[in-house]
Amino acid sequence: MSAHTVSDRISLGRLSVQECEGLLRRTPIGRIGFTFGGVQHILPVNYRYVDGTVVFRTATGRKLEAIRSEEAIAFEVDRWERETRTGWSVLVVGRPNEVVDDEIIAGFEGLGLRPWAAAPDQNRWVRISPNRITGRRID
Amino acid sequence: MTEHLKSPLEVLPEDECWHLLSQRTVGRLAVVINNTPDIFPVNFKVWKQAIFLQTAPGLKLAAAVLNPSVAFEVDAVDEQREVGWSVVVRGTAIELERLDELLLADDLGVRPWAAGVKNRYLKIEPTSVTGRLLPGRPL
Repeated sequence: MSAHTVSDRISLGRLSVQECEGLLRRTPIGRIGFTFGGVQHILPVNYRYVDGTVVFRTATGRKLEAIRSEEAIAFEVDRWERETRTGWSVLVVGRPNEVVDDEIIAGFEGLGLRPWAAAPDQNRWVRISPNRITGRRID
Repeated sequence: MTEHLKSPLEVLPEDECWHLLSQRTVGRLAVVINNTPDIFPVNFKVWKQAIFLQTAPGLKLAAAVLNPSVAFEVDAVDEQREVGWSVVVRGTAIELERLDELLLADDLGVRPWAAGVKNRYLKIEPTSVTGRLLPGRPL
């Protein structure tokens, strides 16, 4: 499967893959969406966009198990400015994998992605390999 | 069902959740279409503990939203300090067709996320409201 199946054509309101990736590199917090126990979950995570993948930390536990059991999860970032009523939204859909390779994790340690202060046990790394990246400008 | 995904310390009481929701104008819907997850932002308003929002017709997403259960998420995150909150409303999304409800939605000032010729008004009647503080850096 190719890494990006989305068209690069820029049409009204639609962001190119390159624009999406630029936004992903500049935005520190996004939301993951996954199904667990038949129920949809969305929650914000600290992340980095690295080598075309979305990397975030999580703790050992049911959330990690839920994510790992999914074939594809959604990851979304957006920005909305109330005054100008403009904004944008980027969606990444891809397969999540826990990263256990020590060398790769050592590389991640340099990303400045620290566990959140009240969740110091976020010592597991998950990487989303995108099947598609789409984005739109909103105004 | 979802209780085991959050620790007791982070949980917000329901009235606090509604208070926080009323302060925001943009939330995100999480849906699943053809086994693929999706998250997209929408404008919303709260009225009597229901969520009113507007979405353009013709989107596959509109059809997915009208499926029995959706998750709707709102958050506010201070990206510097990584503190904030996230509220997830789960419930049934229904399309408003009665004139009194359409007028109410219009009165509430629900605006479409993106301009469309003919937009549908949707209402989410919650079956559950859960909120959590995000475990960021101490102040």
